[in-house]
Amino acid sequence: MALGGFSYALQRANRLQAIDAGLHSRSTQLAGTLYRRPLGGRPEASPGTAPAAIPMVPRMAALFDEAGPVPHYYLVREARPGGRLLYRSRTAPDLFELPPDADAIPGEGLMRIRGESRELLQVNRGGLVFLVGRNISPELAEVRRQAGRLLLGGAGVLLGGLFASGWVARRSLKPIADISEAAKRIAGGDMAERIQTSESRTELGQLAEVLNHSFDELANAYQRQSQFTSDAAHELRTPISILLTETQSTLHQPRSAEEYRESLEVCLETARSMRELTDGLLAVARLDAGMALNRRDRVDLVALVEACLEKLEPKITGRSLEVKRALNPVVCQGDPVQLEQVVTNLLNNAVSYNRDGGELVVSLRGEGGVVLEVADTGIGISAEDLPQVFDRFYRADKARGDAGHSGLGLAISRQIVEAHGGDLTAQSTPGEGSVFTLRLPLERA
Amino acid sequence: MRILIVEDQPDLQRNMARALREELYAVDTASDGEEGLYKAEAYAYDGIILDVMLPRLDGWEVLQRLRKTKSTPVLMLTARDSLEDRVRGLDEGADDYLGKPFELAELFARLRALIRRSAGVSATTLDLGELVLDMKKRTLLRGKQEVPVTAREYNLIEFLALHRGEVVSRMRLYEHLFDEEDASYSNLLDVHVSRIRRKLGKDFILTARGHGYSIPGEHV
Repeated sequence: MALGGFSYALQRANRLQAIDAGLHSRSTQLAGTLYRRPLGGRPEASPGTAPAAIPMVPRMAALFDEAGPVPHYYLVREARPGGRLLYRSRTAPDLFELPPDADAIPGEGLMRIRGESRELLQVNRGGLVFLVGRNISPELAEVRRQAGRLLLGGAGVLLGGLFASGWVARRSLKPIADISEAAKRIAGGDMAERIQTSESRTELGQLAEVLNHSFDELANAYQRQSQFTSDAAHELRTPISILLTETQSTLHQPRSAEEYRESLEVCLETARSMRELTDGLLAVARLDAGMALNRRDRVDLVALVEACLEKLEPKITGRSLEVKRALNPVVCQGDPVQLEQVVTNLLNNAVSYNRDGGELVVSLRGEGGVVLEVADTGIGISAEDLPQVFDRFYRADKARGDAGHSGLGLAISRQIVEAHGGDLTAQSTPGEGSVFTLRLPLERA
Repeated sequence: MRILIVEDQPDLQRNMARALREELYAVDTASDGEEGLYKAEAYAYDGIILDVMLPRLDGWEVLQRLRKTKSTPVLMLTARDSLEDRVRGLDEGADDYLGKPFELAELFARLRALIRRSAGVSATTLDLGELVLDMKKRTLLRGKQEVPVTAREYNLIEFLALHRGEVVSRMRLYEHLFDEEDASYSNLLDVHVSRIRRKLGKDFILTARGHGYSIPGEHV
């Protein structure tokens, strides 16, 4: 725009210069002509006196190309105030105003603009004022037009520039806007939302990918949590059903004391199993929340195993199981209560899922790392079920309505073991038995 | 009325069976899908209570296979009370669907409705001349007075009344009124029929020699 303005000024100046030059030269010519051609053949008046009148012969008019491509007009009058108008060219306007003081006209002439004409006034020594004027409205108009065009162009460029830069800026910022929009929606609860990104090569594209990945993780965690909650509620339905039907059917009609007693015992057992379930749920929740191990003591695993076996003694003899031990002294670091829970769980399962008269083999080794193996000769676990055996609420016998087994035991055990830096795995041959292997590092990092 | 309960959870099974027997139904039980299907196909039940989560064969399977040969009313029970399960249950041929935990009273009411519907009866009371059979309370009324009848007698009258006008064979009566638990000889039909006649009148139950028994009247 600056350029436009500058160029306009330049042009205008140029034009004016040309016009003025034209005016000057004609004025000079006019003066010269008048003095060389005295009127009516009379002898030249002495310089200093104005002639009576100045007829302009057609030839002279042609000299001043009134009808030419660049029409000028001319006026001549006596310089003194109230002086006569001596000559007026055809296209001259009616008025010929003198500036009030003719003496104010400087020697080189006075340039003025009157309306749409540019005029040059000159006074000569003969006491005459010459006015050469030229209508410059076409020029003015054209210059204005040009200026207009330049202005428009400049403005256009400006606007265009603004838009273009705005567009470019928005385009490059769009991905960021997208990301923040998507993030907002996801935070608002729309877990399935993801950021649309096509250019994974740019930094923003990569950012979007990383964020999408995080959202995937988040959605999964969310899903796992709500799945867990609904599974937990579902699990509680069975013991609640039992309580409801037991009490209602007992109350249905008068019963003997013995019948009431039996019924109450069923309720008691059911309540206990609900407690076990909720305890299990809390343990899982705590482990989920990453609550670190409570203690880091030295744990004598042999003593732990023996203690658990002793507790299970009634069940073991009840099923006539043979227990074989291969226990090497091993001490590890960890939470004794939680480790006891794991060992009890493993041994309990080995007893429960065993067959009557079967075997239970426990072995414990300590070189390199702690390895505890619990093997049973039970019904085993099928190949499809094996990977799921550590899942929450998973029961080997899926439809087992037995409210006594929460289905959380192995899930919790694995979580505890992993929190100790170890792992818990299972192998099984259906029909023959299963082996659960617990590995722990000797010294915790 | 003879009912089959197919439920693997022992406490639930025991309680439902006891409660229904006390409601004067003859009740058989099964603890897994295979046993349940076998019995359902072998005997004539007036209603089956079928749990969805069963060992060996799940409830859906049992229902599907049963529906190939029998149209016995089935009430499904489930701990998974989602909409999809309900819809699936009803679409696959169950006649009703109840989620656990449930109230026993609701179980009974739905069962009664099922049986009524399959007998083509919509009312809960049946008019038998001067006697009225109240199927909700499971009693027999003469006017406002309750007529004392034993469980077996009530069952017999109810069955014949629901099929009134029809001659019901002895075979069928045996099937519908007695369950596996009946070991005693008290399941002699004729003994019950004559007892009823003594209480309610000779013509209350008609004998069609060689064919069976009936309660006369228009089938409602």
